[in-house]
Amino acid sequence: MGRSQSGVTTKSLGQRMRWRQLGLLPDIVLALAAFALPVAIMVSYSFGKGSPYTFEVDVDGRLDSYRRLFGDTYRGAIIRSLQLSAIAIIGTALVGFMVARCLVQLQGRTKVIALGLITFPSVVSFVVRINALGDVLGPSGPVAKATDTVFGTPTVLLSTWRGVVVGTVLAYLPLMVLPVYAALERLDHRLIDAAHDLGAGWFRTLRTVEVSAAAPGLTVGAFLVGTLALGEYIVPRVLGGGKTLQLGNILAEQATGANRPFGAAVATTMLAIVAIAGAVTALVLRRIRAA
Amino acid sequence: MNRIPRRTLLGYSLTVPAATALLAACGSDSASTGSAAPAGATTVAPDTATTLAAVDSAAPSGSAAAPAGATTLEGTINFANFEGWLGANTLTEFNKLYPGIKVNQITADVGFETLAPKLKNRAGDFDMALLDARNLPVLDQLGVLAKFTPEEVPNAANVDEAFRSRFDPEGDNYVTTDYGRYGIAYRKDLVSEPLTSWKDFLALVPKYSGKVLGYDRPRPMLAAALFAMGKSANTTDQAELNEARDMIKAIKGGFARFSDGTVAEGLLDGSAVMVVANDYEIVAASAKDPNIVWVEPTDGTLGYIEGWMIFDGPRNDLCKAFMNFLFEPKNFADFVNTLKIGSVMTKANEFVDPELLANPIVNPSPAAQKNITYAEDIGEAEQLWQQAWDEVKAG
Repeated sequence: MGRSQSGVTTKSLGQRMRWRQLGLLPDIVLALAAFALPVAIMVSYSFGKGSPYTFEVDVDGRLDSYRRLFGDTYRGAIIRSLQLSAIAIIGTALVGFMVARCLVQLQGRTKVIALGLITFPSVVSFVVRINALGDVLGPSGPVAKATDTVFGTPTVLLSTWRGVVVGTVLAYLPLMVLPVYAALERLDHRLIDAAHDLGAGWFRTLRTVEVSAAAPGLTVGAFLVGTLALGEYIVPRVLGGGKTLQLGNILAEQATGANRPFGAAVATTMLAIVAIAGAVTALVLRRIRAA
Repeated sequence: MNRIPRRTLLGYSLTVPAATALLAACGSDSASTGSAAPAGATTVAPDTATTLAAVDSAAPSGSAAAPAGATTLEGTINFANFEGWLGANTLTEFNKLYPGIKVNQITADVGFETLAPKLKNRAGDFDMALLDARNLPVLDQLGVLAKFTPEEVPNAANVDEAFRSRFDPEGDNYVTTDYGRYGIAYRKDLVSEPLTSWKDFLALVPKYSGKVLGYDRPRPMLAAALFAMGKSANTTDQAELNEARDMIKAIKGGFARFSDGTVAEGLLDGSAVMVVANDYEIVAASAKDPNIVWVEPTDGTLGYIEGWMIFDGPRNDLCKAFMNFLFEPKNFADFVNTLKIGSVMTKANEFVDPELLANPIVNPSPAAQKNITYAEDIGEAEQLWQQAWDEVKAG
C-alpha cells in the first residue's frame, strides 16, 4: 500500500473517487428516468403508426410522420417557427443589450428596483401576461389609439404576425437582459475610457469593448430565447388569432391519440434543432473564452 | 368537438335576470315541496330497484326524505366536466338524497382529445365524464366504458328516443345530456345583405374582411364549406376535403381570427359582424344584444350530441346514482334552464323556461332538426380533416 506525500494512501484515494462517482448515481438514474427514457420512447413513436381506436402505436420503422412533417403543409410551419425564433433572438438582443447597458450604469437601490422591474413580470403566469398583452395590442388598446392619434389610422397588432413577433420579443426579453447584464457587469469600465482616450469613437467603443464583453451573455441569451421561441405555442395562439401554423401549435394539438407518431416526429425534430443550437452555443462560448 | 370554455358563456347567461329568477324559483320550489323522493333516484342501490312506471310518477326532487339505500352509498365521484356544466341546483339536491356521495368536478381534463389518452393509460382517476357521443366507438374500443342496464339507470329512458339511440342503439353506454349545432350569427345592424346559407356567408367574408370570426377546429369550419358545396359534413373523400380546404383558404384573409374560445364576444363588442357560431353561444349573446341574430343555414348545420358516460371502476354505483338523479325530469329541467340549452327530454319540458323552449336557436323547429347533420366518428379520416385544416392555416 503506497502512501502519498500528503499522507493519504493511494488506495483510499481510489476508494474515495469511486464513492464520489457513486454519488453521481442518483443524478444518472434521474436523468435516465426523467429524460432519456421518455425521449427514447418519443423518438421510437415517431417511426410508428397510431390507431384511431386504441391509440396504440405500432412502431415499425416507417417514416410517414417525417414525410408528413417535411411535406408541403408543415414545411411552412417549420420555416415560420425558425423565423420567429431568429426574429426573437435579434429583437431581444437589440433591446436587451440596450436595457442591460443602462442597468449596469445604475447604482444602489435604483439598480435593485430596475432589476426587479425586469424580473418581476416573470413571476406572473405567462398565459396571463400574453392575454394582457392582447388587450394592449387589440383594436381598443393603447397601441391602436396612439397610432390613430398620430397617423390617423389605428394599427391593430392583435391577430397578426407582427403581433406575434412583438409578443414574443416582450415575453422573452428578461431571458436576454439578465445574461447580458451579468456579462456587462464584469466589464472593467476603465476599458471604455481607455478606448475613448485612444481615439475610438462611440460606435467603435460600443462594438469592440461593450459588445465583445457582452458576447457570452448574448450567446446564452440567444440560446434561451431561440429555443423557447421555436416551440412557442401560447403567443401565436393568443396574439396570432389562430391563423398561423407553427411547430408549437402542431405539437400541442396533435401529440395525443392516434396522432402521437406525428406529434413525436415534431417533438423529435424540435429536440434535434435545440441540440444543434446547444452545440453551436457551446462552440461559440468556447471561442469567446479562447479569444 | 366542443372545446369552447363554457365558463364565459355561462357568465353571459347568468346575467339575464329573468331567467335567473326563474331558475331560483324552480330550485326553491322543488326544495320546499317536501314530497316523496323521486322513485328513479332510489333505483341504483341494488336493494331498491324500482320500475320505469315509478319514474314517470316521480315527484320533484329535493325532498327531505332520502331514498332507501341512498345512505349506504358513500364516496367521491371524479367527474370530468366542463366548468359549470350542471344545473344550478344539481349538486345541492343530489346531496340531499345522497349525503354520502361527493361529486368532484375535474374541469382541467375535459374533452375527448384530452381525456381519452388519459383513460387509455389509466392516468388520473376518472369515474365519469361529459363527452361528445360520436367518440363512443373509440371509447368502446379502448375498453374503458362501464355499461349499464335500464334497471340500473331507469331515468335514462326519460330522454327522447331520437337522442337516446342516435349513437348508442342499445342505450347502455351513455345518456344524452344535450345537443348543439354550428350555424351562422351576425349583427343585423351591421350586415345588410340577406344571409340564409353557408354559401351566402362564405361569399360575404371578403366584403366584411377583418370582421369575421370562425373556430380553430376542422369539423365546423370545413363542414361550412362542404355544406355550401352540397357535400356531406362527414365526408372521408380526400378530393371533397381538398375542395372545402381551398374554399376556406381563399377567404382566410377575411377572418379576423380562428378562435379556440368564444366568438360571441366579438359580436357583442362590435369587432365582428358575422361569425361561425355554436348555438348556445348565441342564445346568451342575442339575449344581451337583440342586434345579434342566429341563422339556420339552409344548406345544412353540423350538430353534435353530448352525454354522460361512466368509466369502468370501483365507483360505478355512485355514478349510476348521480346519472339517474340528473335524468329525473325536474332535475333535468334545472340543468337545461341553467345552461340555456336545447332540451333532449320532452318529459322535462313542463319544468323548462317557456321562453327557452320557444327559442328557435336552441330548440329548432322539426324542419330545422331535419337539416342537422350530426358529426360522426370517421376513424382514420379524422386525420384527413386535421391535415386539410392545417393546410388552411399554413397557407
